[in-house]
Amino acid sequence: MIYLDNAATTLQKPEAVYRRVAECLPLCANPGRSGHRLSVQTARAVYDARETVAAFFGIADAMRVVFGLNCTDALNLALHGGLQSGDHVVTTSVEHNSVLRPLNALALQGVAHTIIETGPGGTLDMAAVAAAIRPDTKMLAVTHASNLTGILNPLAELGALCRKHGILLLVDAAQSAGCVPIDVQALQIDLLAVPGHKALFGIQGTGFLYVGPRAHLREVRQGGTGSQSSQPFQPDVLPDRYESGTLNVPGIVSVAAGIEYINTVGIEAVEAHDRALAKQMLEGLAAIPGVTVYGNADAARRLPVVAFNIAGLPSAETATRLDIDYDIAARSGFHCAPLAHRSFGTANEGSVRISGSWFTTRQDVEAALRAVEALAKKA
Amino acid sequence: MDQGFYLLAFDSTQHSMKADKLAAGHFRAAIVPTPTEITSGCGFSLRFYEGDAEVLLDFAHKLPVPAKLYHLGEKGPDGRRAVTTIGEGGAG
Repeated sequence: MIYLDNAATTLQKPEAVYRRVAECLPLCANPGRSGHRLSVQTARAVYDARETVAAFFGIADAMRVVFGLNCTDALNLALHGGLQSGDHVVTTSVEHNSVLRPLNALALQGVAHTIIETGPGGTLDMAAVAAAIRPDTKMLAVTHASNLTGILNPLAELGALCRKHGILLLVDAAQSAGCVPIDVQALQIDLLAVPGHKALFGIQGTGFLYVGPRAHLREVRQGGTGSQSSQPFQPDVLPDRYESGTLNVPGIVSVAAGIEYINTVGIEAVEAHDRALAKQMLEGLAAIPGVTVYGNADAARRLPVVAFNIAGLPSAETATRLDIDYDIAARSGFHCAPLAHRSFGTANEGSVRISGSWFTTRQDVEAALRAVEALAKKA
Repeated sequence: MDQGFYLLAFDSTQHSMKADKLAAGHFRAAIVPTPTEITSGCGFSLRFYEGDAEVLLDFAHKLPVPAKLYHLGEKGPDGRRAVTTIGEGGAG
């Protein structure tokens, strides 16, 4: 199979990831709970992974890396923990439901939000973002890259804007973490939500939130931390405040192994590879008669995540034909990004999305392009 | 004769991992469950098998995480050790 659904989960992982998970499982005692050697060894594995994650994202204090279930879990902690009635949030129309749904739930509790429309180009208008900031604005919640078009938002400019106005910058790095360099200090990011199972090559059920020194979040769950057990309330020390319950140690170790692999090949090499894939996808699809590609086509600012439709062929049918007739995995529908589809005029039909990774080859993309061309001819 | 030992206690088990890593190669020490003489909570501590109060307090002061240095003395008749707080250190 040619797997082009990496924006949902990367299928192929580095060999070291499989090996490290297999090595970890039989020795995986409870981390930081019991004090026997295996428990300490497991706690040490978590700590080492925390340091690996911190170094990769320019995080000075590894204790500010909070491991959780996935990127959605991290975003929920940032939004529900960081906002309260009377606060205002600025966000964009290309956000995933992992941001939009918490914001809609918070709206019922008195947290207002303003959505910046990108329009069919899918690019963010910085002047519109600045104009939306009000005296009661607490946070800008923005994706680094659209999960529909792979278009990257200008984090450095957004970080500077947030500092100027004294508001928090929450970045959803679901698509970009592991594809392009992200340094939370250089980009002035206060809260960074990251999945482990996408371009960091960890297994599913992994993710983390970076909680910067300017962000003061309430915990969204309480429970055992292995520390200060006699206290009736949650400890306020990091990371314990936000990490109740037993962690997914095999998953956390897998994320560290994935990052170590990226460090070996170099994030710049990954970025260049992804940019070439995006260019090939965009140019190849645009050249096929009857195919519409969505969003600004400037591949230098895009990840290899591309949405398209074939005239006369519903998106679900296209994805099914790619799967059954050509052994190509793609994703159709709405991609949990309903407002982005509205911006692109595909709110009723949805679209087909193909997405690559470090392990996707030019030959894979070429085969997909020829399959789409054949389907377009028949449509 | 059991002279007791020095021990660093932490707010978080992950903090103890950080300290353990920094102590490696400098002190003979091991992570142990925090003795109940110090706290009725759980957690990990770093027990030292060498080093005097001054050197260990200096190490504690340089830690990037909050830590408290204790001396646990000889065992009493009930098996529990007398605890002396030596000082606090770290980022707290």
